[in-house]
Amino acid sequence: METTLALDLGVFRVHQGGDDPPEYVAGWYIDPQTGQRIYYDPNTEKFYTMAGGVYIPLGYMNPAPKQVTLAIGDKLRITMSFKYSGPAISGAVCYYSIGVYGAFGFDEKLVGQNSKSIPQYTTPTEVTDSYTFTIPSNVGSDWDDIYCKIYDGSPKVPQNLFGYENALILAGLEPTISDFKILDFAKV
Amino acid sequence: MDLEIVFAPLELEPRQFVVGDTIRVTFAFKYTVGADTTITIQAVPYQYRLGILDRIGSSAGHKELRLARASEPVEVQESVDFTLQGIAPGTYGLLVEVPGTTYGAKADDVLIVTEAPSPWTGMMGMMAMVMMLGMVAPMVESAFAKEEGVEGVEARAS
Repeated sequence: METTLALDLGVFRVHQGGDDPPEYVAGWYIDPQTGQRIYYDPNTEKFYTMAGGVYIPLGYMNPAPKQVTLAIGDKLRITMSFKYSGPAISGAVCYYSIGVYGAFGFDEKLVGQNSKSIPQYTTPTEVTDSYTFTIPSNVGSDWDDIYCKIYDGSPKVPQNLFGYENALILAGLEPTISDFKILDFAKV
Repeated sequence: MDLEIVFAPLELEPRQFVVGDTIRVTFAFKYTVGADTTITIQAVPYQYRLGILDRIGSSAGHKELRLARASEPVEVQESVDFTLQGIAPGTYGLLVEVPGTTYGAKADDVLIVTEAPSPWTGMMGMMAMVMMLGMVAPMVESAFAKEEGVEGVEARAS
């Protein structure tokens, strides 16, 4: 059985000049919308929040819009889509992972990646890429989070991440039982 | 007119049993599992002692169930037997569970267990009957013998 899950990375462009300095310098900022203290890392070009001493990329994990039920041997195709405008890109990495997202970030259990070439677009144009995982026999029932990202390439694209929490319901080797009830009992 | 139907779980009524009875419990659950597997179901009476659920292991019954691979929830309805043995008279709950997991269902105070009738109770009755017969039989016998004797004399006289 093959199931598809789609993620939208939004809109992005390549770096202008490849090694342009980032818009922000490394340091702490105040999010004007939430008042939350956030940290900007120019290497990953992402904002982070800090929880329990761990820097967590800001807002890349989202509640899943739907849940997909899978068992061992099933195939899950994850499709990412994004809108792109800019010069042609070769060798960008489209990266996919299934794992466990928690207080210490995303614990990747399964990963896969494609090398992606994107033609030149002068207006934002939708681009898609997909990767198919086969659920292995050692799957844990808590491997229910997924994320994907695109990065690198020539010219280099900024890293864009997007993920869903609790997107998968995995039937592992141990049965998951619900609605257990006693219906009747009588002397034989 | 709107008809409103409400489905509520059935309450299990307490029932009386005697020590030695075998009880069949029917249960149901839903499951998902990534590969064919076998689980063990246990049915066992229990009582709470100092707030802890104490299973009466000597009365436990077991059954192995084969669960076929299912990624969507599948409903199973099955039954398991257990025999009330090594159990004192009293009121017990009924637990059906997958041992070693938190999966199961229980119903408090539904098994009212009484002592099985003692074999001596029946024996005493039988013995009393035998003794009565032992006392009555000779009396009846002698009465018949007297009657037969009279008839015999009369027969010979005629």
